[in-house]
Amino acid sequence: MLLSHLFGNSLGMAIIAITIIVNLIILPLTIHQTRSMKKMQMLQPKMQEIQKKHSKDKQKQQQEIMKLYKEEGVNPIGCALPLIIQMPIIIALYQGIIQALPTTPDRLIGLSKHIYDWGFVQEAVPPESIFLGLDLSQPNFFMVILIMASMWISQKMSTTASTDPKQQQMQQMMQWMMPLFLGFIFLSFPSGLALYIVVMNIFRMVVQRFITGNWGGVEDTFKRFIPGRFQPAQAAQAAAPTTEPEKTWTPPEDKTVKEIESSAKKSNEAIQKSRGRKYGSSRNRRKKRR
Amino acid sequence: MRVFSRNSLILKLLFAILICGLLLTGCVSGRFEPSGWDGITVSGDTLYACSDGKFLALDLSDRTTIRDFTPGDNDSESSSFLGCGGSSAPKLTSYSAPVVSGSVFYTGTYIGEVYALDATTGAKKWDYSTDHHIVGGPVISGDALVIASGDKLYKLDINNGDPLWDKPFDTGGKIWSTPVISGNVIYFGNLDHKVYAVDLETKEKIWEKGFAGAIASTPLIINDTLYIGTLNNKFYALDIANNGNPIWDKPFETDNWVWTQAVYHQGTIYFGSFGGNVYAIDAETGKMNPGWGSPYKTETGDRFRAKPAIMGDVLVIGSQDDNIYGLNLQDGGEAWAPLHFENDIMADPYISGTTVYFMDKKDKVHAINAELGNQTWSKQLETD
Repeated sequence: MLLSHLFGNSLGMAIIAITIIVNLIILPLTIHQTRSMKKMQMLQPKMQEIQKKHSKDKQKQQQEIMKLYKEEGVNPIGCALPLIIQMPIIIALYQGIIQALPTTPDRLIGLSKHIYDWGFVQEAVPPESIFLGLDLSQPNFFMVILIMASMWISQKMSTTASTDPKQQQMQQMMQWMMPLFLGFIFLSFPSGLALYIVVMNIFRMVVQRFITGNWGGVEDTFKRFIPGRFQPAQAAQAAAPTTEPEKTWTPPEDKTVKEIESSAKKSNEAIQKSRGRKYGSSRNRRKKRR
Repeated sequence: MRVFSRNSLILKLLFAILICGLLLTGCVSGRFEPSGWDGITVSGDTLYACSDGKFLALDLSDRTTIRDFTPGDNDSESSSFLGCGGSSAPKLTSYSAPVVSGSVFYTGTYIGEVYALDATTGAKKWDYSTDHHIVGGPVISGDALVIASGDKLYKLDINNGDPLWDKPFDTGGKIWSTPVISGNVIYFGNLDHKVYAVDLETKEKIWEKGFAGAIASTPLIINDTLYIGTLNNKFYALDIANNGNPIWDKPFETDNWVWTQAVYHQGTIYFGSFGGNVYAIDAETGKMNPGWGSPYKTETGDRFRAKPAIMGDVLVIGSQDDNIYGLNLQDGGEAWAPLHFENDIMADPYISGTTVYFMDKKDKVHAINAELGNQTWSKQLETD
């Protein structure tokens, strides 16, 4: 309510502000998480080596991988920490939005129990629920689309490419299923909460872009649709020559006929000697027998 | 083959999660349904009420006969893709008392429908659909019925429900109070912190007055003065003949929100607050009634949403703490011990003869003898 009052009774601006504030507070964790993810991506070749080397011994494989993580200072679980920390905040914000956006008289009466008796807070009741043409107290299909799109992009940027084809397939499925799943849920939630999720996703995308220097898997996906503007990595590789240059025949140095015959004879002698035969052709040996 | 079966297991798991998500969607959406606090009105020997999504009439002579004259299109309305267990609010949920005039029963429902039903037979005379939610009740003046829906004010012909204005009066903020008509002018407040005075015939805005707090209560008009409370703990007296300018030097400060309509008796204005206090203030000066000295405070501190009623020398007021209080008008002391019931009292009472009728949140009607402070009878409104 305080933020709503500061932004001219606009609940939409208050939600955006609180999202940014919360994400700024956990920014160190987010940065740590993004760096961990980047390190894990860089470790993929080494992990592949380990998997090949210990393909028959899964336990040894796991041990070596954990050892690698330790050496490189990567914590796979650390990637989920910012999300775990944000869960209670999301739940609290959901409750806050439900209380602060009195969709019915019952809810407005309920709000009276939950706000401080400060003048400017009381004057902010009820907060303006219309933001950019959307009623934040009601579900909205456009916000659902935004949530799904931002969730997909965020996942695409942060997913570490796996070398295991099965895991790749799983990752691809999750990339599509999670946004769809969230989209269905938010068809019945107030779009105020959807606004929080969208702003949170955008914030994380921006942070990740600054840290990693690229848009991750999103770049590759969009490069397929913008040929010519970027040089796709795959096409560049395909265009690169893979065959060895043809060997060209160089004529031998100019020699006289005598020199050529002499060298041929010498090489024949050498061959005969290696075969353990007396010099002379078989024709000559047959003449001698007669 | 192993790869295939593992993938199909993953697909099944994801499908199960999706189905749970859909069900969760349905369960969550039920939380946003309105519950209503239906009001009552009495005409002759019949008590009329909207109860649990039905229009009912109770014969007061025998208190047993209950007629159900609910229109046939009373289906539940659910806003979720899938319902979740318990029922959604019926379409006829309302937050105000119906009006009976000339043997016709008029009411507005939360989903925006206005109904006119024959008060004897229950036959529907007409209905009119507005596009928004109706919270305040209808008010009748001559052949016109005025009702607020969403942020608009409508004027309808009581005979056929046709709009009498080319288009409704638009305020830009939700109107949750019942309009009051005095001298061909409609007065009402809205959640956009304003009080309006609108000409009944021409729909012209005569004046509007802005306040710091939102207004959800119904105004009281006495002797060209409009009394109204706000949701920022203030109570005002406005001169309706002078563009709504405040009469008092400063507004009366209360302990909490004021959502009840006030009542007037011999120069004193009485109303309750959300902090569980009952106030008696001098209508001229805006100061606390000297006889009271200070407001009456309930032990529970729970909200007063219902309008008080005055019977003889007793002020009767129902509270959200399930009690009905009877206070002496002179000094604010308890005229009798609070009567305790099982449910919240949110709807405005109705006075008929020597009896004050209340309906609680679970649609049970209580008849109170205000002078003696006892309950005469109670009746649960329900049909088979």
